[in-house]
Amino acid sequence: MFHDLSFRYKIPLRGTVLILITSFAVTGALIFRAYDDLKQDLIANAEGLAQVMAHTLVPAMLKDDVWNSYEIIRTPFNADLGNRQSLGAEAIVVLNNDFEVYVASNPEAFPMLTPIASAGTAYGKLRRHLENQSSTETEVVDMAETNSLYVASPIISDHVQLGTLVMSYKRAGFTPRFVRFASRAGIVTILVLGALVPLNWYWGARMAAPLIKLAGCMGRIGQESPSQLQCDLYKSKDEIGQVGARFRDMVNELQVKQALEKQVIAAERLAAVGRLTASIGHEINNPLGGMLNAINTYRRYGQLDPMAEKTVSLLERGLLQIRDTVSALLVEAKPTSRHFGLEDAEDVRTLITPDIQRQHASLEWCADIGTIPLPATLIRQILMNLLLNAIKAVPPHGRVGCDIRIEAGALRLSVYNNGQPISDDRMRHLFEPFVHYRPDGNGLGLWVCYQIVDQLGGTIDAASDREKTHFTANIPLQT
Amino acid sequence: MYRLNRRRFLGLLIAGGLLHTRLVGATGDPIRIGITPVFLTEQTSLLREWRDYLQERLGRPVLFVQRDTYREIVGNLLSRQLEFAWICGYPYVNHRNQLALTATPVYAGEPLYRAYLIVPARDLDTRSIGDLQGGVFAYADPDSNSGFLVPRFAVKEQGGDPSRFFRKTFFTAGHRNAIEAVSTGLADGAYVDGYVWNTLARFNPDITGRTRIVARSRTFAFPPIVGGPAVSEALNQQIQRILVEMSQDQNARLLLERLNLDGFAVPEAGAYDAIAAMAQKVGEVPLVP
Repeated sequence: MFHDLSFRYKIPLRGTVLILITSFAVTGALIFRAYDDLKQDLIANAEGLAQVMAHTLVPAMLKDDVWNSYEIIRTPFNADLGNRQSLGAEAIVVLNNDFEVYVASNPEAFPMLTPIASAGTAYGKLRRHLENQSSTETEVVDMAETNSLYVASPIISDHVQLGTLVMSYKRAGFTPRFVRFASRAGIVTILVLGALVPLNWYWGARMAAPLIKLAGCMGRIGQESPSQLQCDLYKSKDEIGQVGARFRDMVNELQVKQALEKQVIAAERLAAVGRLTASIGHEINNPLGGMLNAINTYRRYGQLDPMAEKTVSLLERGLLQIRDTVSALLVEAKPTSRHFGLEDAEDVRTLITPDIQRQHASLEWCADIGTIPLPATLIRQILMNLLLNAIKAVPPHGRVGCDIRIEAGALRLSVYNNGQPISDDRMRHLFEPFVHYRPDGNGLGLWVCYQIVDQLGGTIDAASDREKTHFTANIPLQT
Repeated sequence: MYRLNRRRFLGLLIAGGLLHTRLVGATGDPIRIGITPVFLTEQTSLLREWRDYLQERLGRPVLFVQRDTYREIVGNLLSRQLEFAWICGYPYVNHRNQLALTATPVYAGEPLYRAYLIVPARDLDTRSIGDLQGGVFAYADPDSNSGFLVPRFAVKEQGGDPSRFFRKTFFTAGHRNAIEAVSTGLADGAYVDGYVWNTLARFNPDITGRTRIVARSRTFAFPPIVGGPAVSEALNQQIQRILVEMSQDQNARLLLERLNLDGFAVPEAGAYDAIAAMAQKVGEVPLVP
């Protein structure tokens, strides 16, 4: 049950138990100590009082002045001890040497000249104790099975004992004081608990929060794609922070891996499409060439009536169209001797300028290259295709950009525009043949670019967001 | 030592101007009046006011001197350390050839009072002093009429020996304490001044409420204010006049109210003979603690 509880509760619960144990242990120890102190206090007070009183009683007893003796032993009861009542004596009795009451603070309970033993069994025991162990010092008589403590002090004048002063204290007498102290300690404990427990819950919850977040985030793996996994994890160098960092790395790796997989799949599909189109193209080209040759031969040697001539021309035009289409599909990177240079880039710029102007668009141009060992014709074709696409994508007064540079041993062609972003759905089939989204295109421009780049051993990517659509081709320099 | 302290004390008061208005025209040595527990002597503020009143009327400083026992006051009176004293009828009759009667307080319309035999309120059985035989008995003062002479006389009348009749007796230095001793159960009984008991019942009914009056004695002449050998006839007359006139004086009304007295009267000759006769019958020298 507890074992399966969330850390959100487990940590604060453990803290609460710890706090409770600590507070009760400390309070208990304090109360125990206070009880002991209180008892020692009581005894010390009582002894002092008994000594003083026994001394004061001497002249009164020598003169047999009962009233004066009575007034002396009444003093502690008459003094204003209201708030210390709990420490006051229950009764003060002066005994003569025959253990009879000489005078008592409470004469109704201890009538004069009655044997002290008649005041109850406890006093009977006390009498036996005093008889057996006559002491010249004040002593605390703590007898078992009695409700009171007794402080006995001999009244001595010039080595002659006149009697004994006995003060009785109820054992329960200091209970109210003790209860007062204990309740104060209890209140303080509750106040401390009242402050600590919520604090503990708050800290516990704060401590558990990153773990819970991490656990929640991990739980989503497998249900959501890593790229959509948005986790705002706790950042720190502690263990949870480290785990979080490792988790983020893992998610990133997963994202990269997934992207790679996608690319691989797309590349394989494109490669398959390329192989298919190439074989179909070659299969078509062979009979196509034969048919065109036959038409030529037929024209050269045959006398054609106008009707036949018209039909043959129709056939020829159709076959030529097929040949154009097929040859457009069959992109072949034929190596040429000429290398791509800055002047080729400038040529492309010049060629597209009329289109830019027609669209009232602006062109950002940056070409930072010298002559590079790549076939000029093919690179020009890639640039032209990408730039013409870009110009067609921008709205009037839009922005088109081109960036050509050498980066990490490769030529990087980057063409961008600020037109409508390309949807994810389109993005998946972007480089496939006959995929066109504009009425005036043949759907082969990007296919051609892809094929060329692929055959040159490079890669081409598209990225599109609200602000920009970016096509980037990376073509390794031939060494 | 005593005179020095007193002089210095008065000197300080006068120097401080504290009593300046009170002492206008107050010349000569102060008149010293001894007081005994024949009334509630704890009323310090009452004594202060009474002193001021007498000073004003007399035109001389007045000093109240308080002692625990009647004997000390009578002794001081006879040795001329006091001019006047408010004492009990019993010491008066013992020394009447040396003392002059000045005034008798008037209580409940008469210059008379009674002694009350009291027991703790929980004691419902005692009907007379005879029932207290073998008990603990409190005496107010060995020189008190109501608090000593009356009980001993009562015991003797019953055929008992006052010194053996009770198991234990003790003196409480005053009627008020005797009442308290009975109320707390320290003593099984006591004879006290009825005027003191009634006054205490009026101002402090808690204590008297715990006692029960068993018997009231016949009336006796009220404890008198007497002049000692140091007092001239003229001064005695003057003080007598001032005291007697208090009942007519508006300014003294509150004082008398607090004293629980109607006023003071000129003592009648022979008023204290009854006490003298009783003392003679008891015929013993009292035991002094």
